[in-house]
Amino acid sequence: MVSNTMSGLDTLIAKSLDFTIKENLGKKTLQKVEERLFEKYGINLTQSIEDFPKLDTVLREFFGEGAEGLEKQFLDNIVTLEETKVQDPNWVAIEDSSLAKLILESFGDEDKKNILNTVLDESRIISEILEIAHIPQTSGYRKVNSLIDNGLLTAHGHVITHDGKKVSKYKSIFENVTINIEKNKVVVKVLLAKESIEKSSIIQVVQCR
Amino acid sequence: MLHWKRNSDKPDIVPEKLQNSIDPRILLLILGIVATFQIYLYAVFPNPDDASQLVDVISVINPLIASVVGFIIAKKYWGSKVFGKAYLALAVGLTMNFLGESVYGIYETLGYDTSFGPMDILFYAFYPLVLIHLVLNIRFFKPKISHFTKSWVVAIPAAIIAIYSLLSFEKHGQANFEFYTGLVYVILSSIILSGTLLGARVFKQGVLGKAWLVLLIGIILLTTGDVWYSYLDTFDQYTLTHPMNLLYYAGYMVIIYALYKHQKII
Repeated sequence: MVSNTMSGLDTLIAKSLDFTIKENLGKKTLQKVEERLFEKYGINLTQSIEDFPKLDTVLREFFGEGAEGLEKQFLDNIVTLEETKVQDPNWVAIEDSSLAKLILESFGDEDKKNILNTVLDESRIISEILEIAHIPQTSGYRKVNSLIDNGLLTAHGHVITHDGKKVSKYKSIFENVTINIEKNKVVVKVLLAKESIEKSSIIQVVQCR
Repeated sequence: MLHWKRNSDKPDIVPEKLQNSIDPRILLLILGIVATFQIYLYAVFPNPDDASQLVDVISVINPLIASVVGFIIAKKYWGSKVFGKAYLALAVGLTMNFLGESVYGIYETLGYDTSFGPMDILFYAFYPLVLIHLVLNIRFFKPKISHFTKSWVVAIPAAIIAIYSLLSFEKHGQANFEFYTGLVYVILSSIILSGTLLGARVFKQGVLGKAWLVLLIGIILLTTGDVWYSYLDTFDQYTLTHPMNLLYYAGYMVIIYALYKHQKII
């Protein structure tokens, strides 16, 4: 189970991490890495994304300096960080087809699109989101939870209610999304919210190099 | 009160760092096997040509076992883009050497000229396939290579080729056909030596580095064998019982050990 405090971007990356290892290095390698993660830290691969330095340590135990290339591959297979000067450096091209599909499907669903649009630039509590987006409570909560589980919505601060309860506020991990068709390929580019990049332990570790 | 009676009663302690060291006994065993074989050849076959059958069989079996082990490892990573393809390429490369040795043996048995023929094409095919193995691994694990690293990767083959050429010219005074066919081996093997050294450096700090170090030792043995063989062949000094052959025998055995280590580690 992915924790709710996990960065939205890390949740997105975790979804493709095991696929990347399996695809490039085989099922057996993935198994060995998972076994070592559990043996050393008591966590699984998805949880290790949240605490990326632990995954980094385990990968270095196996691959030495080669771990850096492997980590870059994870990221490159999923997203491409745009490095052009004219564009905002936080623009990211989604390379992983399952992630691109996830984003397209979310924006294809009218309610989910409205939910995401409501929290593009400002964090809000769920009831407020549903009220602004004119979505009924029952289906609305289900759709919000689905967006949280998929990492497209991330917890960002909280409010204290009249009865003293803490209620989380949510924000989209993107500030903008563009969907283009280039040479018969759907290209999804997203402008990541600054805090999404700052909260992502994998991006922090990879970018520090 | 609790009493620990047997070792199995003791709780397992998770190692702080993964351990997988190179067993020197295995390397000594390989050294012992090839040295014993050489002593046997000297003792039983005073005329090297009489050893042709035995040497041919050993020369064929050695790369055959290595290629079978290579395919077993490739099957473990079957379908994966890096390890799967890399180990398949290495296994096919070792098979090329096995086929090359087989054709060489047949030519020799039938009394054909063995100075250059289809076996050389098969032997040549080994190198690009090993190179594919190296490139797939290095490109994936070390996509960015510094200028300094690039320079020594180029400098090592250049130095080996220069030394081989200088020594051959110095002794012969001209470049004959054997020199050029030998030069191809020297160029190809020095390139894979350099590539393996780079691979071993990439994985040095990890446990996988141990498997790469063993692979490097195996490639060094084969490369030294190639350079030495090419040099001897240029001057018609090669014999079936020449100690140079030990490098080939040991090289394949060490590569088998490297393959075993790799699948044990990851």
